Amino acid sequence: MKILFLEDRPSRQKQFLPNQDKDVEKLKSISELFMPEGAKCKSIISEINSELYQFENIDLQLIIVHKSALETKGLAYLNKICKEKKLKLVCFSGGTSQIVFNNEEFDFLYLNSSDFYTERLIPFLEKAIIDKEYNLLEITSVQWKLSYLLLARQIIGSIKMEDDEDSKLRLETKLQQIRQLIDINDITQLDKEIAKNILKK
Amino acid sequence: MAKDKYDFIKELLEDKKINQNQRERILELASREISLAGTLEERVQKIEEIVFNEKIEGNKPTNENLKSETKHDPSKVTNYLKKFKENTALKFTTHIWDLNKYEKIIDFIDELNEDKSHTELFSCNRNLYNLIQYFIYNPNQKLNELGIPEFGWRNFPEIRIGWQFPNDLLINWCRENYDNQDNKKTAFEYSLPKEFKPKKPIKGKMITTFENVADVFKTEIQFRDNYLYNELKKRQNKMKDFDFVDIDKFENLDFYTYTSGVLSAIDTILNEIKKNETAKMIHFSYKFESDELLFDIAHINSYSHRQLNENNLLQFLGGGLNSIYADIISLCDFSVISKFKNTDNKVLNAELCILHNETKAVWEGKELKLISQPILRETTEEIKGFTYRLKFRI
Repeated sequence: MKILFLEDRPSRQKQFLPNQDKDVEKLKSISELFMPEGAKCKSIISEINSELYQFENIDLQLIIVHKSALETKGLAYLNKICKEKKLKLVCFSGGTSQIVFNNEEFDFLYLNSSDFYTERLIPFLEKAIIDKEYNLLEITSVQWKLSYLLLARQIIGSIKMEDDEDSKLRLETKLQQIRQLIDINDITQLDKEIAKNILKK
Repeated sequence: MAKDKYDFIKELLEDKKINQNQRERILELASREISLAGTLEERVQKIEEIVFNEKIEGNKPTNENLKSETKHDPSKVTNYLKKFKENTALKFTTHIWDLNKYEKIIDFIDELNEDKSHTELFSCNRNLYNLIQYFIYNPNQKLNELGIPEFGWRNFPEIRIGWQFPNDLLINWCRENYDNQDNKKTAFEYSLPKEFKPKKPIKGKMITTFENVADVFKTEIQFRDNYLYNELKKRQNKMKDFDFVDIDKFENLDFYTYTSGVLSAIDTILNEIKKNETAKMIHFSYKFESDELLFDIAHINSYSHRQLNENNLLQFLGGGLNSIYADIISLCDFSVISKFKNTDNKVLNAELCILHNETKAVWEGKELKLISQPILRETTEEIKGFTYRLKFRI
């Protein structure tokens, strides 16, 4: 098992995935993807919430989980495990309207269920099984790099003009996260990268 | 104006037989009576406030009875807030709708109003009660002398719209855009009218839609998505001569509580810490114990210089500690851990539990006073400095 996928409300998969049942069947058939159903899924989530679940599988690279199923302790436990074992973590939920990505101590992505269950999900999972060099942001967009480069340029411009403390902090944090993803030091270099990515398309 | 006149106005306004002219005449006379200048609209608001307050806030203290007992019941508050993630109408005040769930907006509003559990928050934590009332139900609309809602969002009075307030504005929009529509738009898509758009960003974002309001509300009832960590970082930036140790450990820590209350308490704690300029290190930590989250802020190598009278522990309180417990009553237990000196100058390694299971307190006007004694427990845990401990139910 390379991917542990915990969805306690599988009806949502049918609701959001573009090819509904067909996509659900495809998900189930992906080798190295463990997606327990029903009581088994709930039991694993419950063990995570009680900090009892043992992540012993040495092949495991990625955990995907419905965030609302996690209690405070369960999420903290997953954070700890992902830090220790250098696992990637994806949380999805209907209760968020933004995409949060962080790669400081481990790769973490949090997004809305409707942004998660898209036509990009299955190709992403298939790639994640065979290729170690993948980025969680590929779930959000095939052009995630270009989006982030453009966002970085926009933020650099905005920070200078921003006088609201919270807004400034939010922008600085975002820029710092982008810099960890994309190695850019100045605006000229950024412009070159943007041009390169547009041409590549 | 005597209270019996308010009652009289209330009865008149509630009388369905009176016509519009008569109603306006009552309002005009009433506004003269209470010497309120201003437009008819403002006068209506004032009269409505009088009538409305008495109608919906029967459990609130009257002017004659300002002393009212407050419960310290963190489990009740946490359990209430966790309903926002369960499959209840409360959840859908902040959560994108499954379009099949409610046929009409009024189905949702009726389900919301059926649940009266929020009224119990009034005797637990008033600021939280006011926030819930403002965002979800019909709030007390009283404005202070600066024109700011007295019972609205504690830190963000610029937010002046909720699900049912003012005047069913949002509900009416949903009637037109959600009910019986092929292409349904939910309340979250409602673009705020100009007068309801705060002029400045709130929590770093401009508020232009009702979804933005709901997003801010979500971070008022839950530390989520690094909110606590970012708020600690902000305070670190303002206290650059102090060393904030281990705040990185707070990344991704999510839990339900009234966050403005907790952040206000943290600010008071940091102000208390600033008073001792010789000890410059503050250690932040948390740990889980069963279903509790223990959040410690320790001022390293700083200890209490005040004597602790074991026969009257309330004497130890005052100033900052009073302000802290008033902010977080019913949100979490609160204690301070330190090396204390008792009246015989004997050093005690102890935890002074200020908000605990048996806490009783009363509101005297705007001040919350403890009427039960704190509990003193000697401790064997290592004490690195004066430590403020907040114990949350999770």
